[in-house]
Amino acid sequence: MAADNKSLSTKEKLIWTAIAALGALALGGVAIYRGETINSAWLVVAAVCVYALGYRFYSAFIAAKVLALDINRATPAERLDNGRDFVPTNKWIVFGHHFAAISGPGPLIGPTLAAQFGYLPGTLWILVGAVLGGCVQDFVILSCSLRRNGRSLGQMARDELGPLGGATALIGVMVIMIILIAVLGLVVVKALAHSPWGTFTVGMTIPIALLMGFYMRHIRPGRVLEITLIGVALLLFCVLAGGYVNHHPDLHAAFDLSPETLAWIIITYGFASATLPVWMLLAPRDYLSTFMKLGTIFLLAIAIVALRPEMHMPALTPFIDGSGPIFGGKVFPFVFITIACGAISGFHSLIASGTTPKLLTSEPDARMIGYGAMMLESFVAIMAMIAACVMEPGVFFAINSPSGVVGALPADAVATISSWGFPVAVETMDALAREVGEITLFARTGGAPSLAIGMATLFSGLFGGAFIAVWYHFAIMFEALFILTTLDAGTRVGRFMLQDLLGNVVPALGRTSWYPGVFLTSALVVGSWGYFLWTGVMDPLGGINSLWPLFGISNQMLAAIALCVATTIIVKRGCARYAWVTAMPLAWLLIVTSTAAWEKLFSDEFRIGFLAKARILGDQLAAGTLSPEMVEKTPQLIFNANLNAALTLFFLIVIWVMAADTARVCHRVITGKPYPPSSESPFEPTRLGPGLAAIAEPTQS
Amino acid sequence: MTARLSSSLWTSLSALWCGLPTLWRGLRSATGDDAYERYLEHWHAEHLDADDSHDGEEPAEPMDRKTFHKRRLDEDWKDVRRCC
Repeated sequence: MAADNKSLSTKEKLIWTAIAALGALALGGVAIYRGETINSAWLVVAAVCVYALGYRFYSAFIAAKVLALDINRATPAERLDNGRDFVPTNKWIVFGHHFAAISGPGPLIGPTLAAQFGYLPGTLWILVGAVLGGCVQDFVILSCSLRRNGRSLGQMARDELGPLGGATALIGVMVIMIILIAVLGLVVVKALAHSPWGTFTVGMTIPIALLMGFYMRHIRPGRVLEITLIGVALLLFCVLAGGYVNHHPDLHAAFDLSPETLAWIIITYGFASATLPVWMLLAPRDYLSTFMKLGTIFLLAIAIVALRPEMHMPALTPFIDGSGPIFGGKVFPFVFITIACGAISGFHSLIASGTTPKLLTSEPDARMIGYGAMMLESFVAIMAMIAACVMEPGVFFAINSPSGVVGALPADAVATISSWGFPVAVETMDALAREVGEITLFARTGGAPSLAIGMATLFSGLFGGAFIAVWYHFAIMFEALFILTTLDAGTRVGRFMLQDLLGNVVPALGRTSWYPGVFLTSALVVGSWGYFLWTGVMDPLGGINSLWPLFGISNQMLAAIALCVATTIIVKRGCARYAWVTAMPLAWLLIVTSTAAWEKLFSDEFRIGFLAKARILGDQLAAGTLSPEMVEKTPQLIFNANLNAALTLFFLIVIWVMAADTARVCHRVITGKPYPPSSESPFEPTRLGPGLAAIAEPTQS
Repeated sequence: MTARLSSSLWTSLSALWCGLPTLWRGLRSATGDDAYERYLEHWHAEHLDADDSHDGEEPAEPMDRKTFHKRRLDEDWKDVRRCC
């Protein structure tokens, strides 16, 4: 009853037609307008209308016809209620938990980098990709896991596709984790390098978290609200105190760290945080970062709606031809790889098949939580795109272009960037740096500093332009805070997976309480991502150029794996005629990821193809045309380029093996041959009763 | 008219006031503040009629607050819990 598409009343038809017309108008405006600046309100209106239509019609269709969500069916939370992880929970609270879990730095960084192409390609991909791809993936995987007692993606892959599918998914997840942590670590290093204020504030989050951890363990166990509020107050004080540190010459020098030093600090931190007990550092950090994340996103939305800022980046820049400074590659396929988490992200399927399905009270809740939370995440990506585009394009490129591309000296950089048609002056950049309390804003790559400038401009705009330096460092702190939480949580999960895997060979290593095993596996995981982080820091082209596409390809590969599992499940349910719902985004991901992987492997351009980079560097080294410090680095750079190429090839093989396996199983289902049976748990009627279930969810649309 | 205005203001204020406990409960639930209370409720509900079965399998008393929270944190962080 709840999941049926009730036929619309005339009034509803009129309202939805009006929304569709408004959305089309706004989207058309965004796509066609080629003036000096465009008001961000156009993007916001277009986004809201697209999301509303997608949620009201597309997700309702999927819930009713493809998944057949049943309000009368008992969920695992009801059947297996144990007061701990299987607990029927109010859908709004589950929504909050799920959204907090899926929202990461991805939707903030991806759009900022993709703004290199102008705002249009990124915006269109965020909207279309989310509504037809990302939201569908999250929703379907959540529902599949719901019908399988909350089994994880890897387990579902093994059940539905066979051991090859399961093993592929597991290895894929581990490799993605390594690349993800490395690239996020690089973003933090680039954001804090030679930035004493930022380094102080982010550094202080560690003692604050330790304090919170001990307080919550020994003095007031379980009082999350209380301790989070205390922690947030201390944190905000540290943001302000950083200003003092910045002005005091000795403290300024003490916290002025090079990228190499910061990389080592982050690696050490990652190891410590993954081996220390969870309650000491990781959990309190997580409370802090979740609170800050949700609060700041909310504040950013208010700022954008209240100020309706003008966006100065053009709709399309000349860099759609692949000559962009931030990362090499044409708009197709690279805009789709660069923006992962705001449009479609495989990592979300791990969350959607994690703790969330164990909390749902009734099946139709999955629509709001699976589809809806991803929509909100997609809106965060739109806000990040707006924040990236509010500054002058010349300033944006001056901040984000690595010195290896535009020149190490400020004068060279502004000359290069101005020659591209984006005028900028050294005085402007210096004045801006002074305003926000930074030493310099040139070549501050990675996306975080430019996003922070955009956000600081918006936030201080709410307060009449005051305190822009505080807002800037607040934004830096907010990003670094939850990046570092993802970093240590990811290392821990990687360590558990590795212990699981190795425990099959050496049983002692599988015991999560045996400290030598813990140290060894943690060191292996941290060593892996630490290596990639180090190569990124060393790379004169900026590191992001190599690592971010690698991350994007691997994340989309995982999304493709999730969609393979989803398609197989849908076909096995006898709904093959609706399988296009997941098969369509799957096909798109296969095309995009394969094209991108191909180019990263075989392109002849130095900045795009890994093998070309290795070959050209090798030639230069042999010919003796390199500077002395480059001669030292180059053998390492050549090795890294080849390693990146090997990884890319690995991803390409994995994705096609999974696709082939899926096609094989689906073919067997359709032609009536034997296949691994669906692992869906049998129907059990809910005892919560339709009356109670109706109270638990007041509206059905 | 002033009387009507002040009466509707009073109604809205009292509605807000009455809604505060629900908001507070929701906030506690969302942040996991009430996890221990929920566990106790569940434990007592389970052990109301469990005298004959489960001999020696389950503890006679529920976990204390400290142990419960440590266990909960350890288990929560085994899974993938934070995203990219």
